[in-house]
Amino acid sequence: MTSNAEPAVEPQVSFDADPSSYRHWKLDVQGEVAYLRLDVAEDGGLVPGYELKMNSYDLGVDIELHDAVQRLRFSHPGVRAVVLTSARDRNFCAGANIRMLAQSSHPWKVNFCKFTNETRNEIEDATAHSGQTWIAAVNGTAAGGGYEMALACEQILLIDDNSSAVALPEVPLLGVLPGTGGLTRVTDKRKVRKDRADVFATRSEGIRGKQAVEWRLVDEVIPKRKWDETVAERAAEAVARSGRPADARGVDLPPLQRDESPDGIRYQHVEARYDRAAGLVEITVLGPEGTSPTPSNASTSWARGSGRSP
Amino acid sequence: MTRELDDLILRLRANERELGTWVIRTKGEVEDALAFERVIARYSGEDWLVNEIRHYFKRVLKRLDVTSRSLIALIEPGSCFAGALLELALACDRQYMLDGFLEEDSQEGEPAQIVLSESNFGTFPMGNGLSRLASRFYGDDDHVAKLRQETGRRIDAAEALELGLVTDAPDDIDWEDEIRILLEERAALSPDALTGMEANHRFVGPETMETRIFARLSAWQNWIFVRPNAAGPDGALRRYGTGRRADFDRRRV
Repeated sequence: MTSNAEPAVEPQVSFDADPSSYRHWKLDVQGEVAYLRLDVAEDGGLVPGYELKMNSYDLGVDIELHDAVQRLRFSHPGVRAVVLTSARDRNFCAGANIRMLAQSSHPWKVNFCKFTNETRNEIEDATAHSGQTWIAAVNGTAAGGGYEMALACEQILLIDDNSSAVALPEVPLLGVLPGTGGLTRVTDKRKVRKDRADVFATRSEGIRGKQAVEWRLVDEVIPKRKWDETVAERAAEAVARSGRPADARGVDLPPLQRDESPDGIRYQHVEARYDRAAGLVEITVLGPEGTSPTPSNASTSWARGSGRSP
Repeated sequence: MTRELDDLILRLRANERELGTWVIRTKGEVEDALAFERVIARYSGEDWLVNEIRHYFKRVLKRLDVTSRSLIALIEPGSCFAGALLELALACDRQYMLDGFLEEDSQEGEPAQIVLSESNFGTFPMGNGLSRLASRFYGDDDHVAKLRQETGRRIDAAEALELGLVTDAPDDIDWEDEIRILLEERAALSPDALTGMEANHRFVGPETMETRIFARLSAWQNWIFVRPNAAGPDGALRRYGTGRRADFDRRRV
């Protein structure tokens, strides 16, 4: 945004979320497989001034995604594979909402990209360290940030319906980069040859079908009639590889208790005091109390604010 | 604690942009902090929840690593920068440790101490794949090995300074002035230059996909975001959907 245009008023952001009140995602846990379906509410933008059409997202959508990643790890120890997909046919995700980006201030865009990048890394961290393998079931076109979301998953399955494609149209259409790891993961993770990566990232309509597999942009293209069963098969294969424990009980992640005032924020074990005149905040972290001989004791203390489910 | 710290970092980043310096302290018993350490170390291989908590704390520390604020750790009597919690100090741009007691303090108990544990040698890697100590002493594996032999022992301010674990260790006479001046000077510097400088100093050595995303990709993107070719009134981002093509300044920079 240029300095002469007035950015929309940007609100104070809360990062609280809970599956029962998600506006943009449907979390469906089926035993060892969780299906996380994107279904963005058009009128659910965090800031006025844009509609979240075509399953495009803003910070609010990503806050819910971050919440889902966390809860799957802590509250659902039995889940061994997570299928990231869209609740809509032919439209997986159109990426970050362009009108939102166009109207946002520079700091807002930067902070938005940082948070979405951290959330993509969390998805990869869950696959790597939690025995929860994320699989992107791309059941419609995945463009820009939509394809970048898929890139954070361990496997990318693309529906073969003669229209659904993966694309990074940022450079040709918007004059910006696929900045949520897109350029990097195409080369570093998917090992796409750099000249092909160049062609792909400048072709706004993207690539579909067999060519997407040949160029390693996706792992597999699957005909529509075999879609559901193949996705379920791939999930089952990931489940079989997982080292998640059997019969473990998850922990709840109840809403954080937080005392906010103009002078700071006080939690149970963390405190922040603002000194606006000096432009600084004093953060104090309270260490654990008492010696703790058992893991369950230690766990509840470290994840304070939560407790093992009964 | 980890959830609360995560939430605080996110809120401060999004909502308190003018608070450019974060002063980080801890409060508690070193011994209690170390007892938790041992549980984490012992059980993270076999208890899934302990493992999840370890990785969650790792991710929160990574958020600090990429936070565009000046991070200053103050290590004072009554603090518990031990093991995992010492990582909070090591994530900071600078660490100051009080040598002795301040006159107005009760002077009871012990002066400030820090304790290294196994947690400081790879349990919580940064995005570059290195521990914060290995990043701090990049290229000096001998010193890291020497520090490893110091685990479990209480290290006082003078020794912490000697070992390179803190930036400075002022005594009670100098402490308040030194900290005040440091914070004032920091607040007077360009916030943009600080963001760039800190991001460079925090990530030494090898590049990984993760550091490439947060540095090479994000830094270029953030530059493009302020360029008229993207964000100007005739730029591609603003013209999208209007039916009019962007009007680019064709000069390469």
